[in-house]
Amino acid sequence: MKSRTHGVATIHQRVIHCIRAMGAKSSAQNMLLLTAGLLMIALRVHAQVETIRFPDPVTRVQHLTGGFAAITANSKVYAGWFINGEHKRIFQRTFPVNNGIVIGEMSDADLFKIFRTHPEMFKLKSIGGSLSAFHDDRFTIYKDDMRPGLIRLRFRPSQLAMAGEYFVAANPALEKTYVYKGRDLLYIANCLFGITRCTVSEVTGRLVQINYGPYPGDKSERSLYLQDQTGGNGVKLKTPSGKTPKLDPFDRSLSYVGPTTLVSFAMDECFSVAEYANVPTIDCTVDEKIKISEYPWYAVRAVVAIDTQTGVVRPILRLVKRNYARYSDIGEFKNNNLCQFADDGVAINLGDRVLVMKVKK
Amino acid sequence: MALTLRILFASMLATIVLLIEVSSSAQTRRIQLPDYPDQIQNTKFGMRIISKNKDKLSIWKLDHGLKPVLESTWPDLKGEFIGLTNDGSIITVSDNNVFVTTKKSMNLVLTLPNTLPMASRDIEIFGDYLLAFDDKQGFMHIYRNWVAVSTQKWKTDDGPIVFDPVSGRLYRITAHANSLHPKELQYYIPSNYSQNPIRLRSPSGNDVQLEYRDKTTCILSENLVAMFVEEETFSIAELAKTPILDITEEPELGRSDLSFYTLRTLAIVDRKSGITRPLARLLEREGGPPGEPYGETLGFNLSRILCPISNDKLAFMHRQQLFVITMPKAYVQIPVKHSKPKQTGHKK
Repeated sequence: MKSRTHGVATIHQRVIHCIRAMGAKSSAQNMLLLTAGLLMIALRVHAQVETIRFPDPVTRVQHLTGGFAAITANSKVYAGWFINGEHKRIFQRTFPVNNGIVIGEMSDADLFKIFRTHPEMFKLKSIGGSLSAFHDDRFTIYKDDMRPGLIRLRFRPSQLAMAGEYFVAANPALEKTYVYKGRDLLYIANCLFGITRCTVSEVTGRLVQINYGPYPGDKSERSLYLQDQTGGNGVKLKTPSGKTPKLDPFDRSLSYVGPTTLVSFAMDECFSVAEYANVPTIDCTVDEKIKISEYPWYAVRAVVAIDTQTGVVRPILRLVKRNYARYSDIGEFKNNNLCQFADDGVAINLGDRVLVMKVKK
Repeated sequence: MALTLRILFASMLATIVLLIEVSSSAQTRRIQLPDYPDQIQNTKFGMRIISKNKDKLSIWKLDHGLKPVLESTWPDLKGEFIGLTNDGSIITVSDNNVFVTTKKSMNLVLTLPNTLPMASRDIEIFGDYLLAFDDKQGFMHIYRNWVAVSTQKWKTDDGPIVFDPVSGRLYRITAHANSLHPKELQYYIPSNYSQNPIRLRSPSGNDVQLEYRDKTTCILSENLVAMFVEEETFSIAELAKTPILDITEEPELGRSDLSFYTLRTLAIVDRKSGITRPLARLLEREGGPPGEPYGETLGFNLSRILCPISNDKLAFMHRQQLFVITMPKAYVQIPVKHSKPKQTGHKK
């Protein structure tokens, strides 16, 4: 008890010291500064999640230095937006919808371009200042002059990820993950037992992937491991209560938020109600005309933060969605994605809007 | 001086914003109960939680810190427990006989008609009213102070009964088929100011769909009534600022279980206008083995769970939990005063 009191007193002294350093001279000013600070903190905590709306549905969000990029689409045009650290929408440019699709951003150059092919045939990503597209087994990079450079993967990757100038493609047949820097193959990592999702640090180029395994023993309750490029045993993922988390099979986004924190989507039921205490819940139903006679069907997902050092997976946000198709596919959240936002935030694409929130360490 | 003024202004602004935010949405507290409650009920001594364990009935109350405190136990009651009288005595029914039991005595107060078979009846207590529902015949027998008042037609589609403790009156929310969409029902609530019942509507004009299982209501003030309604009554825009409260009870689901979710809305009805606004959304997670069809067990299959605690607090029970909701300031109007219970008549 004594040590606790002592600890509190020390913190108090430090706070007073900080306040004095800010220029407050009298005790009244100290008190006011302290009150203002506490209230600002309370307000900050209260407003944990902010919604950013766009004129058209968002097809994808992607991390950019100082913010994130969002691509919106309607029947006529694709539009690119940059959202800066103050959550402001800054319009970039539009592209007509012909027989092509625009996805992705060009590094930090705020450049959006169009790629002519069928949207379901490829996934587009970006690499260092040029537009890139994945089509069948080819990874194509388009420079600003739209002349393609080509990386021929020669396999159909099960996972693709991109951060900064790094690009990752997982080969499920060979159980290998290929990491490129620009168009150059940087290294090849093992991805044993089936990769579920992967990403790469845009700072270090270090690969991180979440894999099933190891198999021996319990196959029904397959554990998840966070592995780096060495493909070693890695860190076993667990919820705060020690259970194996159940990651969302549809939303396979994985993104760094700070040096030791990742964010991703998980199934709601892998956390207890107690673990959801103080986790905000957001309804992400796209509003539509109510038909009373239709019975609603609900799906719930969790946005999780993963500590890369301990493997602890904790929920940071719950998403509830109301659907009107009974027995519908449980993947009502598919085609959403998330990405890092600024230094310690995450941007979550819900289709009709994007949520941004800070991730507490 | 300028610094002080700036800080003072910032503090005031922050305080105002915080107060507005806090007072504009319902605040909830979850209380784990020591036993599974059978029901909660309002008496003139405040809210009571009643649990039945084997043959022993226990009555709990909440202390000032909202902690459950055991008030009394009743080991040898005659018949099936129905509810409490306003003064806290126990009402039971055995065959068709209704008994009121205190610590000192047990009195037969009412004999229900023989036409009310045990299998098809449901008995509920509202203040000094006793209502006996006959599912088979479609009648509701109303007694007040153990004296028969009337018998009315009743069907399961009907809305809940609302008991007003201030006036001591009992009134019904009625259902009518929607003339445009005959499969849908429109609900009407008696108004204080009109002979004509008022149609229940969401703020955007949707017909209100009442929760058909949880026919429980709670008078909050002269005009405001709380009740459970189906989620789809409200558009997402109308639910925008309504907090979502997870009422799932542990133990949690296994990893391999498939989850089903149910949401219901606790809503506030204005009797004057019929406008029904959401207060809190209740989310429940249930599991079952993969492939099991959408089950009969799903949903809020509860009864008599809403209960006022004070003029700004109401409670509902769910399994072994009690949720106490503090109302936003906008909902708190005229405090509810409980009418003095009249002497129970026809004691035998």
